[in-house]
Amino acid sequence: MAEASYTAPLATRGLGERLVDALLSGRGIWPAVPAIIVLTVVAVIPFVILLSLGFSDMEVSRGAIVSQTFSLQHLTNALTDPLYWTTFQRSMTLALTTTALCIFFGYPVAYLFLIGGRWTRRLILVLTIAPLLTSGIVRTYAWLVILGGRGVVNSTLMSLGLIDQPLRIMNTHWAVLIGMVQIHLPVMILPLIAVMSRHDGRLVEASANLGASRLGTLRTVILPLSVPGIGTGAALVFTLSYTTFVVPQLLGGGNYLNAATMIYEQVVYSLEWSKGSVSSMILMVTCLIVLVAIALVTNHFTRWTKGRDA
Amino acid sequence: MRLTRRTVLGGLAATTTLASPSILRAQTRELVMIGYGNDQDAPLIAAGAELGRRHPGVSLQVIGGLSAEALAQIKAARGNSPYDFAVMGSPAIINALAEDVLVPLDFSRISNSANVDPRFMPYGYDVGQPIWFEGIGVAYDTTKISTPPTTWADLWSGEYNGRIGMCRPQSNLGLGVLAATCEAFGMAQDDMTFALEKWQELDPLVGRSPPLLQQMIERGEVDLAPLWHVNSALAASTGLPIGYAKLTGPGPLMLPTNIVQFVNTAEGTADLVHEFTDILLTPEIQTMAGSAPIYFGTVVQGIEVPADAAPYVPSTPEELAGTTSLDWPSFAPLRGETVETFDRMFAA
Repeated sequence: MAEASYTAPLATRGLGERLVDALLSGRGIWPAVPAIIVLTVVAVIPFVILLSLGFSDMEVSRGAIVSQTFSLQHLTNALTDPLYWTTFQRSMTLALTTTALCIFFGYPVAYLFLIGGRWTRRLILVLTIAPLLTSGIVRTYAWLVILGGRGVVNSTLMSLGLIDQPLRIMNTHWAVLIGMVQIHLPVMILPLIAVMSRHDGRLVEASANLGASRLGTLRTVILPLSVPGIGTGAALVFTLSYTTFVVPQLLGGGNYLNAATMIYEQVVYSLEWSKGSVSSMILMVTCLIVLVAIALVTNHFTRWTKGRDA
Repeated sequence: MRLTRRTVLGGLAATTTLASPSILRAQTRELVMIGYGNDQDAPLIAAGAELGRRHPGVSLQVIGGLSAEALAQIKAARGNSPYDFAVMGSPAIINALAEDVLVPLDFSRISNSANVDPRFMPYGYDVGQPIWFEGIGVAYDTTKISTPPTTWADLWSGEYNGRIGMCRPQSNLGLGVLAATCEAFGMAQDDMTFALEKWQELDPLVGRSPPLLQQMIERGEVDLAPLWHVNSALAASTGLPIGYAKLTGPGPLMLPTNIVQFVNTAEGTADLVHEFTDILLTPEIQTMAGSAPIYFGTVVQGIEVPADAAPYVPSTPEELAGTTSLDWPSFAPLRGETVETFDRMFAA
């Protein structure tokens, strides 16, 4: 075989070379080993430590934990506290609304990419990717300038004589929602473009030849085929929105509390790590539940599409 | 993989390159401290430069950040502090003592400490050295408020409802303002629920931190807000129409800032920290700290308050006589609890 002609005999190869061969073989879990090691060290182990803090009462000396005793008190306190319910409900509503709005605004852009010419596609790609080249904090600060009392929106409305006093947009739920949709929109558009670009263009032509209108083709051909893109985008946008910290911090004002800001305050300012740990656990579990739901719905509609294709 | 001479030499060269910053750092000596992260760091940097002149190879890195965040990082590092020392307000010292992450300074090794006005020393709580102070008053938009309030109680005259900002109680400023509110209405300073209820009457917009509150005034979102005098002075120095009122009843209020030393620092660091603190208390650095644009209140006796600092720092005999602080140990330990109560009342 050709491969055998340039591969050194097994007996003469060292451990390092055999390990690299295994990693590059594409067989089993070997190609994922580097990622598994990194994730274990930087994510799994710290997370297990964090979880252990949620189930224990601690004693600290010279900055170090000197004793830990098992306790379910922090978890039961959290689950019976109305503040937690309100905060997580607010985060969930915000994330689901952001996801829905990103689909609403993102899908037409991806559709335009699908049917547009070369320059339209390039323009859409540039406009989608360009915001990602700057930090989320910078983009959020831009909204401070736009939505503030002396911002572009209020100045324009006042100069047009539509309002006498500046509207209070900043430091409200609406400011957070506007910022979240704009910041996360590219994360919805890019998976949609990736999935829709793979469509066989002849399906659209066939639909038109069979007399379907553009809307009919969109509804019966393009939309069902783009379900995996919607699912992927929705999962990404939901996760980012549900766990977001910067946008509520800057646009929501000091009396806007979501799950991430609550955890940050519990860990950094109150130094109550057990509470922070329990809150993190609730955040992760609820996030996973929604992600599983998104996956199931996506899977259901994808199977439905395949069934209809068959 | 075959080990050849070239592989070994290449590996050694790469290791040396990667390790060179550590080797250089070991030969020099870098002190790392938590500062402010803005123009307020200028006196710290100047004192660091002087320390470097006295000890060639020694340098100071000032990292901007909140002392609360530093405490969280030290806790995360299981007591192995990434910082050698910090500037810290009195309430943060109380929290740091509760976490057991401070090593008391030896005041006998800070000769200039003897020149500090004795009124300030208790605010270091026997572990930190007061180096200057910041006032708590009200910053206001001069285009919207022509006659600013003069007492804390004036804020409840009805004129400022819906126009005022406040800082979350996780910050020293937010916590101090709540205690001042209690004092203004004759309540115990630790009656945080009373203070929060009083603030709820004002329908305030809330800033997460003093700098964010300062920005809210700059953007016209609020017309006035309790703020550090230093934040107000820095904002005004950029040409913004922002004034500052030193409120009384209680007040003028001040909070001393201290140098504190963290646990588990490298051997020999303590000597440099003490010397650095001593430099901060020299007339040169104190005069610099008390000048434009930051106007820190100086703690060393005999340092004149500059005329242009008068709008921010107590300067008249009446103001100096009335200058006071708060009973921080009575309410600083309630920080976490107060933040939760605040969220229940304002964010839920």
